[in-house]
Amino acid sequence: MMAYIIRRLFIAAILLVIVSVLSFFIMTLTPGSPYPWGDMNPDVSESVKENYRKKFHLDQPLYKQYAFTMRDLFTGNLVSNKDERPVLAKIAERLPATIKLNVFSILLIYGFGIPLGIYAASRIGRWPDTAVTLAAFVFIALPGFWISYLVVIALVKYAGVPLLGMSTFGAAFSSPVSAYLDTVWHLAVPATVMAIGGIAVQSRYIRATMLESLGEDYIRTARAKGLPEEMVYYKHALRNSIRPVITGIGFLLPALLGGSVIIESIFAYPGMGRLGYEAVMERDYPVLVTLNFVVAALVLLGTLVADLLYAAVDPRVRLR
Amino acid sequence: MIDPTQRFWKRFRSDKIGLVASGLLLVLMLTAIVFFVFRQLGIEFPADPNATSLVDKLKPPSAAHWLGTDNLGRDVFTRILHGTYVSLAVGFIAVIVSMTIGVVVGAISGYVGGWVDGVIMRIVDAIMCFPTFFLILTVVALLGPSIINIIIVIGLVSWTGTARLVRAEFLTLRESEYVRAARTLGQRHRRIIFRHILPNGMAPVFIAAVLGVPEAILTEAGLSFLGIGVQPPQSTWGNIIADGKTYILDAWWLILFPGLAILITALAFYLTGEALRRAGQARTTYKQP
Repeated sequence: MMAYIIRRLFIAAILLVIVSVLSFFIMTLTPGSPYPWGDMNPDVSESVKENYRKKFHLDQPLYKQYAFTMRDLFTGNLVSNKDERPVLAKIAERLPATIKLNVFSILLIYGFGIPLGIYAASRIGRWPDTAVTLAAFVFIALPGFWISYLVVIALVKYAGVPLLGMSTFGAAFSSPVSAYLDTVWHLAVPATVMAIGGIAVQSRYIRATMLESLGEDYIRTARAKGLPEEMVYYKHALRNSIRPVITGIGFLLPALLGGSVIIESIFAYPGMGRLGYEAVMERDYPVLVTLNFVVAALVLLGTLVADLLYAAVDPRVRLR
Repeated sequence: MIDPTQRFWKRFRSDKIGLVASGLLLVLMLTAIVFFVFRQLGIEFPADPNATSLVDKLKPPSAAHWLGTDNLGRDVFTRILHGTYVSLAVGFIAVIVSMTIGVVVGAISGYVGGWVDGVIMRIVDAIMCFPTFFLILTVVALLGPSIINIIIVIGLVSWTGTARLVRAEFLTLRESEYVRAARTLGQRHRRIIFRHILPNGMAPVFIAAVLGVPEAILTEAGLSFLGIGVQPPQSTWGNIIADGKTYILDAWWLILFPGLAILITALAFYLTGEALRRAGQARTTYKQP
C-alpha cells in the first residue's frame, strides 16, 4: 500500500514536470509581446524595457527562464508580471470560491446523475429510458454560456432576482441567516448551470455500467433467490457499477475548471476560471503557468485519492 | 451467417432517433455547403449577412426579419445561415486533425510497446491533466484568433482520447491470430499496421470522431463568445450571441436563436454517434426479467 502510494507520487512528480514544461513552452513560444504595455508603445523607453526584461529574466535563454520560473514557483516568489503581486496569493484568494463552486457542482453531478442513470437502466428500452437518454444528450449538447444567459434573462428580467457575484451587492440583510442564504443562492445558480452537462454524462456512464452488471450471472442468482428488485439494483448491480464513477472523479476537475472560465465570467463569480481568463487576456505568464500547475496537481491528487477509495470500496482490488 | 455490414445498416435503419438525427445532419451539411458557395459567388440570399441598416436595428422577429435583427440592423436569420459553414468546418477539420494525430500516436504506442509506449502514455496523461478549454483559450488568445488557429489548436489539444482508444485496440489486435499469421508470413510492419490492424480497429475511432465534432463546435462557440473566436464581420453562432449579450435584457432573439442552432447541431451529431454505436454493438438488447 505504502509502496504503491510512493510509486504513484513519483509518477505524479514526473507528470507535473511534463505539465510545467509544456505549459511554460506553449506560453513562451507563442508569438507576441511579453510586455504589459505592448511592443509598439512609444512612451516606453528602451531602458525601461531592458529593466523589465532583467527583472523577469526575459534576457536569459529559455531553459534558464524555465528554471527561474520553477524555482520562484516553489519558493513562493513568483510574481505576476502584471501587478507584481505574488502569484500564490492571487490564486489563494480565488481558490475558496472555486472550490465551493466545484464541490457544489460535483455534488449535483453525482446526486442527480447516478439516480437518473440507474432509473434509465431499470427501464431499458421503454419510454422512460428513451426520455432520460434524449434529455441527457440535450444537456450534453447545451452550450454552457447560452443556457447561462437564458437563466440570467429569465431570473433577472422576469423574476427580478439578483444573481451576479458572490452575494447581492449593497444589500442589507436583517439576519445573518438570510445573508448566508443569499450567498448560497449566488453559488447555486452557476453551480447548477455548470453541472448540467456533467449530470448528463454521468447518467450515461452509470446506465451503461449498470446494464453491463445487470447482464451478469450473479444478478440472475440474486433474482432467483427472490430478492426484491431494489436490493438487486442498489446492492448487487450498483456496487459493481460504481467503479468508473469513482475513477472518473479526478478527471471531472479539469473539465469543470475549464467550463468555469465562461460560467464565472457570465455570473461575475470571482473564481480561478476568471483569474485564468484575465491572465490570458493580460498575457500574465507566471499566473498561467502556476494555474496549470496547480490544476494538474489537483487532478493527479484527485485520481490518486479515487484509486485509493476504489481499493477501499472493492476488496478484490490489490494496489501494487 | 449475416454480413456484419448488412446487420449494421439494418439496425441503423430501425433506429428512429438516429435516422432523424442523421437526416438533420445531412440538411445542416447541405445548408453549410450551399451558403458557403453563395458567399464565394457573392450571391446574396436571402440577404447580405453583413448588410447594416440602422433604421431596422434591434427589431424583434417579424415577417421581414424572421429571427429579428441585431444592433446594426443585420438580419439574424441570414447571419445564422452563414454561420453554419463556420461551425461545421471547425468541427470537421479539427476532428480530422485530432484523429490523425490520435491514430498515429496510438498506433505507434500500441504496436511498438515497451518504453516507447511508456513515454507516450505519460505525455498523454500529462496533457489530460490540463483543463482543455482553458488550454485552447490560452493558445488561441496568444496566437491571435483566426479560424485556422482555432481549428489547429482544438485539433492539437483533443487527440489524447483517440490515442488511448487506438492504443487499446492495437494492444488487443496485435496478439490476434491473423496478425500473428501475417507476421509469420514475414509481412512488413507497415503492411500489418495499415492493412490488418487499422481497418479492424477503426469502428470505435469513427464513432469517437462523430462525437468529437460537436465537442469542437461547442468549443468554437465558446471561444467566439469570449471574443477570441472567428473575427467579425464573419458571423458565427458564438459571436452573434457575444454581440447580443450587451442587449441581453432587450433583445432575447439575439441570444435564443443562435444558441438553438448550436444546440440542434450538437444534438444531431451526438444522437447520430450514439445510433452508430448502438448499431455496431455486439449485444443490443438486455432482457428485462
